[in-house]
Parts: sequence; structure tokens; C-alpha cells
Amino acid sequence: MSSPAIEVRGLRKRFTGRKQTVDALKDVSFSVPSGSIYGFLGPNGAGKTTTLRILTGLLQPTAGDLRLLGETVTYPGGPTLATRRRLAYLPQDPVFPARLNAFEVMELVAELYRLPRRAAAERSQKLLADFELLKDAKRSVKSFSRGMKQRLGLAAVLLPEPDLLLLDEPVSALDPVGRYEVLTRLAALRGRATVFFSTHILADVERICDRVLIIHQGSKVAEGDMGELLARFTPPRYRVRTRPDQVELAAATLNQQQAEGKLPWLLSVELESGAASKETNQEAPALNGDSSVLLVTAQAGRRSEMEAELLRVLVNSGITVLEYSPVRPDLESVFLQLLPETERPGFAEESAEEERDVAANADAQ
Amino acid sequence: MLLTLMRNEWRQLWRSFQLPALALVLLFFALSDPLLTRYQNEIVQMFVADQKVEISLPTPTAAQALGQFFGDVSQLGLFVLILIGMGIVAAEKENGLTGWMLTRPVTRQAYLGAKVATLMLAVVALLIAGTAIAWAYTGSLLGPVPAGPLVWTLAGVIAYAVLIVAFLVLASTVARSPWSAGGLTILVLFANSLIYALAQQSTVGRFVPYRLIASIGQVLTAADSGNAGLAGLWDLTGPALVTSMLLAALLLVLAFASFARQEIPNG
Repeated sequence: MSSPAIEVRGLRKRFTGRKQTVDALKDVSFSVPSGSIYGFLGPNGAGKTTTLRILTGLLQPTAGDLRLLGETVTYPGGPTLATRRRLAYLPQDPVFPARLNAFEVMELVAELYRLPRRAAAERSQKLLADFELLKDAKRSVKSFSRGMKQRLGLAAVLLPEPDLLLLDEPVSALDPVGRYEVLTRLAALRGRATVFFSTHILADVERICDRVLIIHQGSKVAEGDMGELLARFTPPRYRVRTRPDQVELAAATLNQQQAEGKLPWLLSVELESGAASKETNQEAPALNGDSSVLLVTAQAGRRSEMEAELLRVLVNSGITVLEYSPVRPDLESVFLQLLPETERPGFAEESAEEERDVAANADAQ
Repeated sequence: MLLTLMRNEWRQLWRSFQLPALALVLLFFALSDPLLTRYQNEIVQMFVADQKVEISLPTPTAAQALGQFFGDVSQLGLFVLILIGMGIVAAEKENGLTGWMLTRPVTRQAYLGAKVATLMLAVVALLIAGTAIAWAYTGSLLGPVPAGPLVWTLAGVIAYAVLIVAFLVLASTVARSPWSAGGLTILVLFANSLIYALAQQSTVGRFVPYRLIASIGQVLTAADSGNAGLAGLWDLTGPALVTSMLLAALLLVLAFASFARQEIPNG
């Protein structure tokens, strides 16, 4: 078995300023298997770009051990020249020598990677065509839009056919079609090269990644195989549509049976469109809104029990079930679950609402 | 790798009109100074013609014309050089280009070395070309100039320019912005001339780099005072020339050492 393309152990990075000290990375460890497509997820400011800059040698870690393509990385300086010839890095906002045109940028990259001249020229031509830059290839890159620069950056990192691609938000400036094409292209590298890319677009990660690392405020919160993460962090959930006049009865029935200890697997029952979500061992859910769809969630690992009992309980209670389907777990659920409660969507609005209620009560008294 | 980087650097300097600007400044002085010197008496007479005043002016000499040329070059020419060089590293660190380059298979030494070598070679080549034009044109207007003093003066101006480039590289490497690098360089040049003004009568004054500029007139007229031989010329500015080269080397070593350890936050 080949060694991992990236191995990071106990990575820390502290930025010391005049006024404050920021711990951008706190003891982060991970390992990226060779030939995998590895997603590096986190909200803005989580430490993704800092990690990539340390991997490329632009920044120095405060502590930690790093290995890239089997070579121990030392600082200052970062990866050796030999290792850097095998990797390519794309920053989030690529910058090129401003007075060069796209052909000259590709030529410069080819020379720096010591690629054979003729083969490099042919490959450059093809890559520029693939990324729809051929007709603008003789224009100064200074006049390129952000999206064009990102496409040129992608063409430039693919030119030397590196063993390891380090990409920082590689499709953030692309339109949906461009994003789809680039992700498909990256996915096609699986097995031939390792792709390590940071993003906060969960759908992109879900689409092509084998493994995922999630960091938040400089700390690793989860790492693993996509399927394993989804199974671990998203509880089994079913979508149940009833007749509109029966939705409250359905919810009450499930809560009642759970209270009686007949449905030990049941975690929650909620209206699909409603914000209210109550644990079943508390009071019955407040079913505001006009939806007739319930989301029934089981405790992690108890899918089979739910599948065996849920429909039977509802039908036996006289509920007409119009639709019954499993909810496909997604990375967004995992991601949101791993974020601290204060950073989940809706928290700010809820907090503000609560504050307003408190203020209103105080005024009334 | 160094040649690739130097070619890229050359293209950037040329296409951004930085080197053409320096070339035009040198060409302008190379043509205008001999001409103005040759006709300075006629110009003055023209201005005072109505006042019926008779002014007696010395006959202009070739040394005077070249002295004017080197004087202008060492002021406005070097100011243009500061404008070109102040962003040599600082601007690219700021806009992320340094980060982009250093994440290719490029060593930090090669990146900085290509910048230093390209700028120094370009400046030296332009100074030689400008001086050759000024020398030829002066010769056609005012007669020949002894080669020894001219070459020695040029060597002094080149050494001074190399020193400025070396300081610019260091300042641009450690400063946070191009303008602070430029400002720092101007301050140091001012301090250099101040130190020379205070120490010129002492032995120390012979070693201050600014002596290379302050003694241009003396060097160019060395033939008149019988000092046109190597010993005489060496005595005039030799120690300052050696000091300048040693200082330039030291500044470059510091710049490379600092750059090797720096973090590049943009890129």
C-alpha cells in the first residue's frame, strides 16, 4: 500500500500581532490517501487557507509534523524543489504576472516545471481550449475576470500533471456549468493523482469526494469516508405525507406511543416546513403551518426498527399515508450538526426573537 | 530556472514601461545636456540682449557637459530608479504574485536573485548606453573627452546605482508596502549625503558612498589637474567605490537571508 499523499500531525499555527494573538490552527491532524479526492470543509475563517499555505511552505507552522508525497517538510522554505515539481497549488484568487498573456503564463509554468517544450505547448493549447480561454489567450491576464483567472489557474495546475493538487476554493468564481465541468475533470483524476481541495460548497464535496475533513475555528471536528460520515452524523429519517386533517393526529400518535415506551427508536417528529422541532420525550410538537408532511427521525443506528414499525403504527392508527420515503442524508446535515449551535442558520434570528420577547414582557410588566 | 525567471522579470519591467521610462530619462539627458552646455553662452546672451549688459562667460567644455549629464542622472535618474525598484518584492508580496511564484518549483533564492540580477543588469546597461550617447554627442559638439576620467566617473555612478538597487531590494523585502520601501530608500540617500557633508574634510569622507556623486566634476576634470592616471583617479573616489560595492554586497546578503525566513501571507 502506498504512503499517504499528505500526513499532518499536531498542526498548530499562531499569528502573533501587536494587539492580539490568534490561534488559527489548533492541533489538527489528518491523512490524505494517495489517489483520493479529499474535501477540506469549513466555514469562512476556519483555517482552510492557512493549512494550505503551510502545506505549500508560504507559512510556517507553530508546531506539528508534515509529510508531503512521502517527504518530511521542513521550515522555513517548505517542500523541497523535488517535491514541488510533483505538486501544484491553486490559490483562491489566482494572481499571474500581470503583463503576460495566457499563453505566456502557461509557457512560464511549463518552463518552471521543466516540461518538454513541444509537448507542453500542445498540452497548453488543449487545456486553454478545454477551459474556454483559447480565444482570449493572447490578451494580457490583467484584463481577465475573476472567473477567467480561476480557469487559467486550473489549466496551469493541470499542465504539469502533478501527483498532488492543492486547491483552495477552486470553483468559487465559476458559473454552475463551469463548476460541473471542473469537478468532473477533478473526479476523473481519482487514482492517478491526489486532489486536496478546500471549499465551503457542500454539494461540490458530496459530488466528488471520497473523504472529507471538516474544521471549525482551527480545530478538526470530523474526518472520514463520505459514507461513514453521513451514517455517523445523520440519523435515519423518513418523510411521511398524510391527509392535511390527519397530520396532527399522526404526530400525536407517534409521540404518545413513544411516551408509552413503544417506540424507543423515535428521536423526533417535526413538520417539514415548520421551524419547530421538539424532542418526543417532551411535550407534543407544536405543529404550526399548513404542511401535511412529517419528518420522522430515528436515533442513530436504529433505521431497521423504524422501517419495521413506523408505517405499521400509522396505518393501524387509521392515518391515511399518502407518501412514505426515506430522506437521503446529506453533507449539509452533517456539517450543520457539527457546527456549534450558535453558528447554525436560524440561531441569530431565534436569539433576536427571544430577546424581543423578553423585552416585550419586561415592558408589559 | 534563473534564466526563465530573469526573462519573465525582464518582460514585466519592459512591458510595464518601467525600463523604457528610465531609458527615456537617460536619453533625454544624454542629448539635452551637451546641447545646453554647448549653447549656454548664446542662451544667456539672448536673455540679456535687451539690457545692454556685457557678460563674459567661460568657454563651455566637454567635461562640463558630461558633468551636467552625470549630475542629472544621479538625481532624477536615480529617483526614477527608486520608483522602479521600490515595489520589486513588496508589490508582488502584497498582490499575491510572490506566493504564486514560490508555490511553483522555484527557490526563494532564485526568485529574488532573478529580480536583483535583472534590475542590476538593466540599470548598468542603460547607464553605459546613456553615457556612450552623451559622450559621442558631447564629442561632436565640444571636442573629445579623455577616456580615463569618463570611464572612472561612469564606474562610480554605476557603483552608486548598484548600491541603491541593493538597498531597494532589502527595503522592498522587509517593508510592508512599496511606498514605505521607497520612502526608506530616500531617507537613507539623504542621510548618506548628510554624512558626507559633515565628514568630507576628514578621512571618513573618502569612504562615504556619496563621494562618488559629489566628486563627479573633479574626476571629469582630472586631466586638467594632472590626476587622470589611475592613481590620481583612485585617490579621488576609489575608497568610496570599494565601500559602495561592499555595502551593496552586505545589503544583498541581508535581503536574501531575510527573504529566506519570511512568511508570505498572500498567495
